[in-house]
Amino acid sequence: MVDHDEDGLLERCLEGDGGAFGQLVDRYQRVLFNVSLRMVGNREDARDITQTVFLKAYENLDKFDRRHRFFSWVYRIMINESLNHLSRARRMEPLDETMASEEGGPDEDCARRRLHDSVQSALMELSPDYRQVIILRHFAQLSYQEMSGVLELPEKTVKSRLHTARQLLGGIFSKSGIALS
Amino acid sequence: MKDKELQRLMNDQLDGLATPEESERLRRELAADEGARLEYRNLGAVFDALNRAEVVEPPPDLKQNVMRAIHHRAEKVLVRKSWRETVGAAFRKRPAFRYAYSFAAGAALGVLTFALLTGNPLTRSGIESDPFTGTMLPPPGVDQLRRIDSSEFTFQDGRVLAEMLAGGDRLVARITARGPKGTEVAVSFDPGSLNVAALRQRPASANDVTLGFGRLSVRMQQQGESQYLLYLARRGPAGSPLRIAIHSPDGLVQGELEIRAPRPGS
Repeated sequence: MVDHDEDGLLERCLEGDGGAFGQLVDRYQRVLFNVSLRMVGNREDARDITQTVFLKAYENLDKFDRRHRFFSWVYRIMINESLNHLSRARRMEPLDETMASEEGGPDEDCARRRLHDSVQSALMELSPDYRQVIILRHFAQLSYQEMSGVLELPEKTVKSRLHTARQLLGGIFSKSGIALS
Repeated sequence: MKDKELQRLMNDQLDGLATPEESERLRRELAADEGARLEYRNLGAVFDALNRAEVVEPPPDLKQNVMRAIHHRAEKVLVRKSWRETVGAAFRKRPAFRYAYSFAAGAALGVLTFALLTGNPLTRSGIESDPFTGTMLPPPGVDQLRRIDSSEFTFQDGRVLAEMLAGGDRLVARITARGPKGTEVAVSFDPGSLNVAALRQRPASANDVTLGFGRLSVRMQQQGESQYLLYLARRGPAGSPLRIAIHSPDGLVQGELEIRAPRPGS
């Protein structure tokens, strides 16, 4: 499926119009940053990864197969960058302090923040394969078909992996005594 | 019904993908099986928690950093292209240049072969051999540089001294840090106005050091003091101060380091 508006932007980028790429950054920075943040659990690393992903996308735009969707391609770069980052990291942090501290405040809803932190901690306990399917489905709101395109896996495998990931996540919540509702 | 099929039905129902027939089949299963009801409730709670997890806004400078880097790279490509075009044009006009080029390449190869056969001159004693990461440019002596700004941060069981040293177009951020395990010292700078030339660490330590896009991060993994020298080169007259953020057990402390010496009298 081709998004004509996006196709026009890509065309302009290839002609050297940096402003058009800026519009693509506007369109995807929020979701890509959140995908990366959920994958690596650290705000600063997520920022670096998101910036790298946009640069890589820009530099390789001429290699992008326009018959496919741009976002599937960018998500794939993002997932690969995040996985590379995780494999480089010597250890994984269960929870990034910067996420908690920057979102805190006297008027903050403590229960909501606790839930947010608990979800992130639980995600970090999942293996990257399971974590990425949860993130793509629940945070990037991709369909199974889109996830299959991003992960280059059959839809059936994506679905079964996601079911297992949800089950594992439920187990982690129960084990940690986290009240979900 | 098999467990796997029941799992699929539950997930499809919560995903909003179940057909009316499948929903009805699930309803009947749940009515008849208490274990399945509990499992369905737990799965529903996972969906609920994931759906309620908030979206975090990206840093405000993310787009700016990307666009600046793209602009910078585009400039480099243009410069490279025009240089190649000039040389290419010279070769087209003067075929004799081709022979000169071949001669120069042959001479360079000869020098390289000689160096390899007689031993690499860079491994001689007396040459700087401290461990460091980053690009392998020979860093200038820090002693010849002038201190233009400094900030000291103290916290529980730790201290960070951040200094900015300058000399000509060269800048060195010297970070001397000691702190409990897990403390993170992050130095951010504008990659549009400063290039990283080298990063040195004294002494070599087990701390996690990451040199990213406009950012150096050191996460303490061991006791004791370590020093980091971040060699920077100005890319233009403009530039904002370096930002220092320290995440310690006491919380977050932040500061800035000027990259320009204060004007006399100011």
